[in-house]
Amino acid sequence: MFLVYLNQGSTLVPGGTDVLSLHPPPVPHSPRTWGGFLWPTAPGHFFGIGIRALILVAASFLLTQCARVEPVPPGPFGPMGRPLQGPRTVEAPAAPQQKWLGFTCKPPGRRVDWYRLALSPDQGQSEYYNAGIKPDYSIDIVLPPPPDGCYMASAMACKYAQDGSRLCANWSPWVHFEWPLPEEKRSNIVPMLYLLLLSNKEKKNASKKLDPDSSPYGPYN
Amino acid sequence: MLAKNLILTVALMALTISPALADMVELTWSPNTEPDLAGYKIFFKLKGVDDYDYNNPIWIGTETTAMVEVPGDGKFVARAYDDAGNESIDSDPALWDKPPDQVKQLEAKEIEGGTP
Repeated sequence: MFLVYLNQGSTLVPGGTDVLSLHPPPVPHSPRTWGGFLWPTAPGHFFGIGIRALILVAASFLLTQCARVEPVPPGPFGPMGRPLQGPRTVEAPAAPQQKWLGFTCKPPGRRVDWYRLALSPDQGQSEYYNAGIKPDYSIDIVLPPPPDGCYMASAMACKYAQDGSRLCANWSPWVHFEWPLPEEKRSNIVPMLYLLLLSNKEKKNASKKLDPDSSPYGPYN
Repeated sequence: MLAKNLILTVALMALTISPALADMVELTWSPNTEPDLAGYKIFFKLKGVDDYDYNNPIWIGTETTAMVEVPGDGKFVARAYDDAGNESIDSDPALWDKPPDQVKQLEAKEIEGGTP
């Protein structure tokens, strides 16, 4: 319960995707320039038939060979003009991707101007951070990766009252997590793949389960 | 004769939120003592609106408690009126600022290649 007492002007307010799959069309294997250059012999002529047969055998051989040639980096060419099967280039190992710590929350139903976040190791002092808001009004914060271990976090939503004072909700219940996060929580790829597997019917069912309060389109008064 | 300087004590309590996310607010104030007192009027203006609409009080009655529904943060004022139609000036305003909702479903996540 929130209580607001007013007496002669004094106010006390306790703080209280659809996923689209792209399939590029197949690349044609018979360039027209080949046909135009190698196919002028009159149809039915003996030599024409012989030449065509030879051409077909040669082309088939070449195509087969091309198919077997694996891409190699640009380099020196051998006496027959074919690329040398030199040593494969080995790509330099990519630098390990830095993982940062962020947070999400259910979009609030009311206006929020900023969030306050408390992060605490299981044994240790809490550290407090001011966090911004994303377009969906969720928490927008990116923190440097903490040392491996167990942590807990809490957040509260705040806004400016009409008199300029800061008005915040209660702290959320503590959320416990382990850093680094378990594999299933590491990236958004997992939920995206999950979404891909969902049928339209399942999607509809899932949407029906959403809490109406979860709509970010509250009054934000 | 009605006192022109009406002093109201307004307490907002028993807050509930309707599905439309409008706020139900209960207002209470101290009664006036004039013998010819006829009742009270409550006016509301949303945050950012300049003036109260004095032609359209959101509540009229003789009680000293009013339950009103407002669409968002704003200000209330009350006026007392007597049998002759005299009306007091505004009471001191009562600010209505509802705190944000408590954060729900907080969850840690990993961000690749982010910068703090």
